[in-house]
Amino acid sequence: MRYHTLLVGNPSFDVALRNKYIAAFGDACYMSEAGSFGCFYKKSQDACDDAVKIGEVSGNAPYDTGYMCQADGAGNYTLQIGADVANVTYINYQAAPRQTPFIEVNGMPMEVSGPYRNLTDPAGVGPGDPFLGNNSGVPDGDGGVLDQQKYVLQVNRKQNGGKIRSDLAGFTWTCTGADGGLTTCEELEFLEEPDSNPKSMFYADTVAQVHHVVPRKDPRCCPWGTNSYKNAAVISGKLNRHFSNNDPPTDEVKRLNGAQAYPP
Amino acid sequence: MIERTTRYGRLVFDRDAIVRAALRAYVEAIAGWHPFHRVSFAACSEPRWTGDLQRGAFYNGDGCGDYNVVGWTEAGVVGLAFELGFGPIEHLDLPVDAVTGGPDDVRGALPGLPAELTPALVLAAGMLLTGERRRGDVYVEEKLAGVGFWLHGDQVAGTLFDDPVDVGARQLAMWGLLQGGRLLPRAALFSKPQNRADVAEWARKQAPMHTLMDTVVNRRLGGPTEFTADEIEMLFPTPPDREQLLGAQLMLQKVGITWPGSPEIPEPPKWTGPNPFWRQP
Repeated sequence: MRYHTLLVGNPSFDVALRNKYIAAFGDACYMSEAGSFGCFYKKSQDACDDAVKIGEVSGNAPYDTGYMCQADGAGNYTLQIGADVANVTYINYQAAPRQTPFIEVNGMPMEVSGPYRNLTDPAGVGPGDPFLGNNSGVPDGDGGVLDQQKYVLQVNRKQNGGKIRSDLAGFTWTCTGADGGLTTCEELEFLEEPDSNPKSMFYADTVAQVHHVVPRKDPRCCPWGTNSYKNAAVISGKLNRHFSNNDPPTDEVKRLNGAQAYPP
Repeated sequence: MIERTTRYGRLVFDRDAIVRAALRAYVEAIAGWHPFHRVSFAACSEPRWTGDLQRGAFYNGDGCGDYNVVGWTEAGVVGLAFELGFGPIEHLDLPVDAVTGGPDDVRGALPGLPAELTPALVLAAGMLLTGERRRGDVYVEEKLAGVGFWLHGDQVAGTLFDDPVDVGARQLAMWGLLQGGRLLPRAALFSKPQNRADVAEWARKQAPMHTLMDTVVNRRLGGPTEFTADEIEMLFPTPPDREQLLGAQLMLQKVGITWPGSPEIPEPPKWTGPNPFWRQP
């Protein structure tokens, strides 16, 4: 459940208007997988703060400021936006639709289909579900069974001579340099085992992690990326924290979708 | 010990039980490692430990970027958790200008923290990872956690109990849902019914291994201990290669569990050169 503001106009179809809302309200606003555009907030105050700007942002008459959001006792709010007390906008506490998992690449929405796409998903993969602790159904070779996280790492090791290789080796991004200034970081080729005795003081950065390419949770903390193997990539802890739960960069998606698929 | 009824169920927090469960989860994680695979669905995928049973901290990573940490002293426990995207700036309203890279970054998750628990906070925060945050032309390193709890005597509080949004609360709730002194994997309680059943079934099938870990951990609570030959045979029926065995020995040595008659193993030198991610000119 999130706080939903009432936008003016038809941003689901009007791309220019949609971009205005995104520029003003940031990642609260998004396209849903059903193709509708809306703005949803974790906190009612944030929704109220943005709701008063909707008139101006949409290119219509600015709303009157100086009024406070009023709770209706059922989780929803109203905000007076003109001199007439009946002139209000609504902030409704309601289920937020899932953000589209398709990533725009060269202007076209593209499904993430990374290098583990040929592994068979367990039943019931879904948005927001983790790889860790979800039964892959694949035996571990020692009488037990692997969860999805361990299975992905096993598949990676098998193909890379027993070592774990980053699926984004060579990927570059801006990071902190020696003096706290900006420098370029480059993803390592080989990563440390997540369960080994640390080999360097940089272990937290160099450790291999199984990354949700479309993040497991969106910026509003709602379920987004799934635990399908198509959505998995092995990368360093440092790069994983850099990606955080932002929209996946186009370069990342292009590289992973274009990567050779690992055999099961 | 204190009980609280929450949206995650009836949680019971006990300082000694949490420390024991942390030690057990650490040992279990090593037993569940590649290539040992003695436990399926271990509670922890990236285990880290510092300190001892009186004053210490345990880092419990999920291998995918999320984690939780518990830090303890004789006075009590501080628990903190992180999910990607929900650190102090995004979720605790910490201004970028207020980032210190130290424990104060995450105090917003621990309202009302008693001064007696500051050392536990320092221990816990020492295990938190950092995120890079741009401040003008430089980056600052922010300690990463978005939710927390503290336990002091018969008092317990924190955003775990108040925050309606789960940015790691389930990870922390597991510390109040210990079963038989064991930290359960989150999937044992918070996953789809079939998966919960699978996790429970594997715990049943691997009961002898869980009993072994309880035995070793209980011995360790009385002081540093060694594995018996039978325990080693059960843990490592196929002798692992030398490097993997050494890694396990070093990890267990940190918590006072050693091989029979083995002298202290020195830590191999660690890479201390420049950050390996910095692009070479």
